[in-house]
Formats: sequence, structure tokens, C-alpha cells
Amino acid sequence: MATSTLSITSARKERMERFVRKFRNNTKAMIGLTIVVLLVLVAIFAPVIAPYEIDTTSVEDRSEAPSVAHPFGTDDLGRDIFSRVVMGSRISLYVGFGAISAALLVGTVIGVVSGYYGGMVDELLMRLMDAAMSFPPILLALTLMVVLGPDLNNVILALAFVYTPYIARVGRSATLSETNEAYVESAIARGESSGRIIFSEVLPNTTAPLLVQGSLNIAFAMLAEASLSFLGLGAQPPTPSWGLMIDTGRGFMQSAPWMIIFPGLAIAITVIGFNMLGDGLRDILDPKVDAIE
Amino acid sequence: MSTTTPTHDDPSSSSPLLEVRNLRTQFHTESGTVVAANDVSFSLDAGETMGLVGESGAGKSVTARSLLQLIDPPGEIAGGEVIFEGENLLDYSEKQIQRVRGNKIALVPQDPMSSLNPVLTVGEQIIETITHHQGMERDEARAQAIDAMTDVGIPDAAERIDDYPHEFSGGMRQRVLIAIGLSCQPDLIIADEPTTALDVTTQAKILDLLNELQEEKGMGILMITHNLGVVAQTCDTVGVMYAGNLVETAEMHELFRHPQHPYTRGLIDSIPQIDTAYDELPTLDGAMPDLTDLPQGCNFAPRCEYATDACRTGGDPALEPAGPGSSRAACIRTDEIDLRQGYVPDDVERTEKQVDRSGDPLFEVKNLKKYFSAGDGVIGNLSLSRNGGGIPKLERRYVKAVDGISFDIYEGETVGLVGESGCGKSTVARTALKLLEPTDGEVYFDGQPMHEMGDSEVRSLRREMQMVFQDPHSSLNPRKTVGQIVGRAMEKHDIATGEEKRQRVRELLERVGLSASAAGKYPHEFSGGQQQRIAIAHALAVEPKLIVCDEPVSALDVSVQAQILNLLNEIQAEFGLSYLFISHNIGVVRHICDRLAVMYLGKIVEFGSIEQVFDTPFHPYTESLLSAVPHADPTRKSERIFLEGSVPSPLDPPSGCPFQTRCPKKIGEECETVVPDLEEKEAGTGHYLSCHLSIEEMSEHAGFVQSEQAEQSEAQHGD
Repeated sequence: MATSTLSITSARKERMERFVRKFRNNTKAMIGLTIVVLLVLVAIFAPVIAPYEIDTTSVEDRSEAPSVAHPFGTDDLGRDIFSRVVMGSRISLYVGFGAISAALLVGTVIGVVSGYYGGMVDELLMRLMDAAMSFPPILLALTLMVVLGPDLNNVILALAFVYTPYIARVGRSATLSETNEAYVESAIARGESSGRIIFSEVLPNTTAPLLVQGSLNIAFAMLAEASLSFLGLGAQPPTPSWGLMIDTGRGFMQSAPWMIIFPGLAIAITVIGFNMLGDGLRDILDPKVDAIE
Repeated sequence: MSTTTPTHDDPSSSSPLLEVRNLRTQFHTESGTVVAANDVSFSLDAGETMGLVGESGAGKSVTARSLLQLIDPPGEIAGGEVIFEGENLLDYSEKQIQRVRGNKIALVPQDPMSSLNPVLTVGEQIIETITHHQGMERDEARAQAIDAMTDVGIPDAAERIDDYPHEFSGGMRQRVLIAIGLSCQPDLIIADEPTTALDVTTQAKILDLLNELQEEKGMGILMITHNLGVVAQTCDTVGVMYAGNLVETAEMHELFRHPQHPYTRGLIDSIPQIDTAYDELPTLDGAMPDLTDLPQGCNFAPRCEYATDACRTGGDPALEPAGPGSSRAACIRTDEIDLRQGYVPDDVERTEKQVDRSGDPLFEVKNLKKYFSAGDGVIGNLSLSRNGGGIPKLERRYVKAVDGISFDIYEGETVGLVGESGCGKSTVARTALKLLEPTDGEVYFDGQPMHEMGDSEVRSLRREMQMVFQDPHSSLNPRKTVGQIVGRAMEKHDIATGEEKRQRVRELLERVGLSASAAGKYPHEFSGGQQQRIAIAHALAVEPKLIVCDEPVSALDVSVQAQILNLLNEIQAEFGLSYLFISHNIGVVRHICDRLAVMYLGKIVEFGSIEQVFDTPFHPYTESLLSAVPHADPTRKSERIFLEGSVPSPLDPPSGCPFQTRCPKKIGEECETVVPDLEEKEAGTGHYLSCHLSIEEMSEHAGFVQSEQAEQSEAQHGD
């Protein structure tokens, strides 16, 4: 719909400006955003930043403590941990964004359809989601990984499955409250089809809570990826996944603690970053604390 | 029980109960500081009722709340004095003011539905107030609570004190709130729109109650309202607020007889009177200015027909004595202009709208029914019943929201549907348009049987009939621009696309009184009245033959209400549309409808032309509705008919005539057992009534006796 694209800009710009202003005033969101942006930059420029090849082993340099040459030290095979942590950010982000994008895609559709139609459709879909949610997320992911086989893309698939119900729940409740608005009835009275009402009228109004839930779930998904890799069901060696690195370093905890400290820190900072961003977005977008309107 | 005005004590003899001096309350917002109450000064004596009127956003509630320091950040009370019993309340600490709130000054809030705590019994909530402020023992407090409930007219107070709020009707809950307010015998009651959320018949009773209580207890009442009819019925003095300023204060009769400020005149004029016919309602053009962007001169100048250059540039005028009486007005021209004469409706010249009813109706509804299952889910509406003894049976329970309704609408005609909340009028609209699936009945549009159509057929027929909703804010998608909203309807039904569509959207927006540039804006950038104009443009976009208006003006301010009603009338004349106009306000329908149906408990009780419905013979329910509307004219004292009790639950409707439990003209057993038919009492008139009374009895206007015996003796039935 290209209806008067030019004249929209003023209103849309004003809305954006307001959002940006609120965002700036929210310390949590700003810290979170800074971390996330830095992380994305690191991931994009990883090959440039990393001083060594990630799989060049060196028997002389193995298990070296952090030094100028190897800021995070080296592992048991003499690989540079700094380079591996930097390259590992790509894996984390790939899995986090991949899994949650897929979950958002499927979960939103399920949630919105369920909330809009109500009745039996709602009952059926939501009981399915409840069933999926009744397993602890990590246990479910583990089971799925056993079935699918250890592979990074399968991790995305499994985590997408695990987090879909959470997204669907949020999508459903947002839809329920929107469906009570008269503009939905007005669209029915105009003769619109249900599909059009769901996706063109209701969906754009449910984005705020979904965005919040999505950014919070990215953090969980990244954590889950690390856990799965740690348990040997995620990324396989020599892939520089943070979880996998911790798993390898576990045996050298006494002699070379840097092998687990730095990947661990990377995981912690990333998860904190996304969590703070999600929390901040929730504060900003919460309709009770005056929405963007 | 009629409205009485307490006699005035000489105000000069003692200091007033409450004196507000230069009160200033402001809010800090992102777009700057907004002054919501600007140097407001007034005083109120014991035993006096002062009204504070104005449209939404005028600052009346903020003023009232400031008196009790009930202003939350980002708001602040920036200056002034509130002298109550010789002390300035604004100097009080939070602890001190808490001793005043609810104890010396009570606040009766607007919404009885959300102002009571649902998990506490009403008694608990009254007792809490008493023990907190008066340090009384619980037993004693309980007795006092029962007294307070009795005072406000709650029957069987001693038994009902342990009930929860949801067990009371809206009017009864408002009485409970008043009882809480009264429980500590305050000197001043601030009533913030106490009847706005209530039906007219209930409103009449609550206002009467407040008047009575005041006479008895002699407290002062500060009545905040947007309704001048309420003012005329209850107040002794009035303050009119506009854009944060008090623009006129006057003794009540003086205000109506000789308003000193043009805004007051406009407000009085724009209320549709139920007993006058207008060709076009008088309006106040425009809307209240944005408080962040006030005009240079007088705040009212942009809307004022008397404004001169001096008004527009000279700054906002102060409130000064005006006229011969005690009135004060904030207008620099008040001495030059004479506002005694109100708008004169051109009664004689009224061009009678010609509706051709010879052919087939455009829209016809026959015996429409809509039952909702009571309770949730598939088995939620099952219940065990043992009617007449024997084995308990499983029964399905239904709420009969609409129970056999028939009416028709001809081309170019407006048919109104009035009734109190819960009578099923909105359900009729939705079921007739097939937004809800009807349980039973037939609906014909242009001769086509809609009740037999499938979804896709109905969808293409939607082009012919549109709907305008009550709350324009909710009926426009906040994520779409006005251009997208209006244009979408055209696209949907292949009326226009591309540049042609955009052109037509601009034309339509101009037709409904907006600028063409509105197309690029989002709905929230408009005021309520403007949003309703957009909603009307949206309905018109598909060039329909019928528009269903569901309470289109009830969420709007009076001055805007008149503008929208006039717009609807103009559009009808221009496009030859038909309207189904739903409203709870019988005053509004008079000016837009050709024929009117009065609904009660899912049934039509009276149907006929406007003249027929508004004149004898009346259905007893219509008569009480008409009598309950507060007149914005204090010299008129219509005698009110107070209905007993509240509307029965549609889950368990009364036997016989649905109105028999409350009917003041009930004639006896027949009413309780036989359901009256809706029939033409005089053949050929097109005036349908559903009542056992004869025409003569229904035409009796005076001498309402609440007892049945008087009527019973002459029991003779029309059918």
C-alpha cells in the first residue's frame, strides 16, 4: 500500500523521534543496545579482529597464560582463545537470531490466529503449546537434538521449536486485547476477509510485546546453544562455539582456567546485553506507561 | 419527589465553607508545561451546591482533585490557596490532608463499576472509612454504615451490607459510593461526574437523592459535570470552565437566563432539547484549543462569533463582574453583547423530510432473535433445574439479548433505536448486519434475504451497508494513516484505486469537514470529534445505501455532538442514505430520526414516527424515559416518573410483559401473565405499542400514582 507515502513521513518521523527519545532516557535499554551493537560489530568484523586462524594448532604454545601475543591465552592445542571467542560470537548470534526469527515467524502466526478465532481453534492450538511448554526447555531441546543429530542448524531448529510456544502465548494475549477494539469490527463490516484482518489490521498492533519477548528469548536461545554445545549435542569441534570451548576447557580448569573464563564471560555479557535490551524495550513499549502513541 | 433548590443563606454573614483563590495546577509534559487549572477562584457555602461545568479537558476534574492534593506527578499544584474551615489545605502535609480526605471532604468518583474494590464487601469498604477516620469500634461503625446505606436509599441495608459490589446494579453501586462519601458526615462532597456512567432513569434518581441528602444534612456539594441538564437540576451556583480557566461564575438561574460569556451561551444552545424540533442544531464551531498551544488572546476567541481583534490579541481576559447580578465573566465584550436570547429554532420553516414509504423497504428485519449462551465454553451454559419438583433436569440457559424484533427502514429514512444500557440495541445492529450470527429471524436488504446468504455473499453486500461506532478512537486502526483507512474501503470494493482513490479520499475528507492533508496523519493526531468524522468518511467511502450508527455521539462533548449530528443530516440529504441510529439519549434521536423504536429488555415496546413517540399515547416506559431527561432549563420543572428497582436480568426475564416489574401503570394480573403484542393501536397510523393499557390510559399524562389499586379499579384493556 503506497498510499501517500510522502505525507506519512511526518507522522511516522514524529513517532520514531518520540521512541528514540524514550529509548535514550532509558539507561537499561541503552546499555543493552550498546552491548548488542558491539557484539554484532565484532561478529561482522570477526576475521579482521581475530589475530590468528582459529584452527591453527601449535604444540609449543599450548595452554599458555594470557599475554600480549595471546590476550586470552591459548588452549590445550595451542589455539588462540581470543580469536576463537571473537569468531564464536558469529555462532552465538547465528543461532540466537536464527532460532528466534523462526520462532517469531511460527509463534506469531499461531498466537494471532488462535487469539483472533478463539473457540475450538484457540483451545486446540493453545493446548498443543501448553504441552510443548510443559517440558523444561533444555530437556526438550536435548531430546530434539538426540533425534535430529548434533549439527548447528539442527540446534536452530530445536530451539525454534522450544521457544515458539512462548512467542505464541504473547502473540495470543496481544491479539485478544486488540480484537476487542472496534477497528476489527469495522473491518468486518467493511467486508474484509479474516486473513486480511488478522495480518493487515491486527498484527501490526501486536508488534511491541512480540519484539520484547523476542529480544528476551534471544538471550535464552544463546544460553541454550551454549548448554547444548557444552553437552556435546550442539556445535561439533573444531567449531569455536563458546559452550563447546567451556566443555573442552573443563578438563584444564586447574591448570588453564582462562580456557573457560573468557568464553564464559562472553556468554554472560551477551546474555546480559540482550536481557537489558529486552527489559528496556518492555519499559518503553508498555502501554500502561504511556505507549508510543 | 421533585427537585427543589435549598434556600440561600446569606453568604455575606459568615465566611464560606470553601474558598479557592488563584489555584494553579500544571503538568510537565514532553511538549512543555501545561496549565490545567489557571488561577481558578471560587467559593462555596455550606448547604450550597456549586456546579463546575465544561467540556472534556476543560480542567474541572483537575481543579476538584487539586483541592485534596490528589495530583500525581508529573502534575503539581503551582500556587494558590484552598481555604477550608479557615485553613489552607495546600499547606497541609500528606499526613494532615489524609485526615481531611474522606472525613471532612469526601470525593464521589465517576465510575461506579471500577471505583469499588471487587474483593471486599461493600460494608467492609464503608466501615473501613469510618474506623479509619473516626476511631470507632467496628460494631458501632457497622451500625453507622447501615445508616449511611439506608440514607442513600439502598433497600434492606442491614442485609445487603455483606454483599459484594458485583451483586449490585450500577445505580446501586453509585449509591454505595455516595454512602462511603457520607459515612463520616463530611462538610463538603466533591461529586465528580456522579451520574455520567448511569442510564437516564437511574441518573434522575441519583440526582434527586443528592438533593435530598443535602437538604437533610446541609453539606456543601461541588458537582463536576459536563451536562448542563444536571446543573439545572441540582446546582445553586455554577462555574463554567474552558481550557483551564473559569470563564464565568453565576447564580444558576442567572446563568441560564442571562449568560455573560459567549461560551456559556454556546454550551446551552448546543444541547438538543427533547421538546423542540430543529432544522439544524446550533453548534459551537471547532474544538477546545490544545493546552500546549493556546491562542494569543482570549482562549475562546477562535470559536467565538463575537470576537474582535482586541479579543484575539489582548491576552486572556480575567474573570470580572459582569451584568447586573452577581455574575462574573472572563470576556472583554461582555458589556456590549447581549446573550439573553438563545438560539431560536426555525420551527415553522422546518422542511419536512419526505420519505416515500409506498414501495418495498430498503432494509427489513422480521422477528429477529439473538440468544447468547450463558456462561463460558461448551458446557458452561448447562444448569440443573427442578422446576415444579421431580427429577432435576439439565437445562441450557440463554441470555435473550434480542427477542423477536421487527422493523423496517425505507430509502432516505432514519430509524432510531433507543433504550437503556443492556436492552439489546447494539446487539440488534450487529445481528442485523450479520456481524453476529442471528439465532432466528429474517433480514432482507433490498429484497435480498441476508439470513440465507453465505459468508462471501454477505461480504460483497457489505459495500451497501456500513457502520459508525461509538468510540472513534477504538474504531480506527492506530497503525494506519487516515488515507489508508478510508482508501482501503474503496480498494476493497473496487471503487477506485491509485491516484483516483487518493483524489476521492481527499474529497471525502473535505466533505466531512477535515482538510485533505489529514490523509497523511494517524488517527491519534485528531480530537474525538475529528476522529468520528474520519469514521464517517470511512463509512461513506464505499457509497453505501445504509449506515448503522451505534451511539455515534455519546463519547463526544456536547458542542461536538451537535456538529456530528448536523453532518449526518447533511450527508443524508446529499447522498440519499438511510440510517439506523442507535442511542441511549432520547434527546439526540429526536433531531435525526424519522421513526423511532423504543427497546426494553430485548423487545420493542413502542415504534412509530417521532411525533407519535414523543406525544401521547405513550408506552409507560417511553414516558418515564422522556421524563427522566434532565432539561437544560431550570425554569422547566417536568414531573419525573421514577422507576422502581432496576432492569431485570435478561437471563431470567419476568413473566408476561417484560416491563411489568417496574411499570408505574401496571394494571394487574394480565400484565404478569400475558405477553403483550406489538400492535397498531389505531389501524393505519403506523404507531405500534406493546402494552395492555388502552389508548386513553396511555394518553393520561398527569397523576402518576405509584400504587396499583387506583388503576386496577378501572381496569379495561386495549387488547
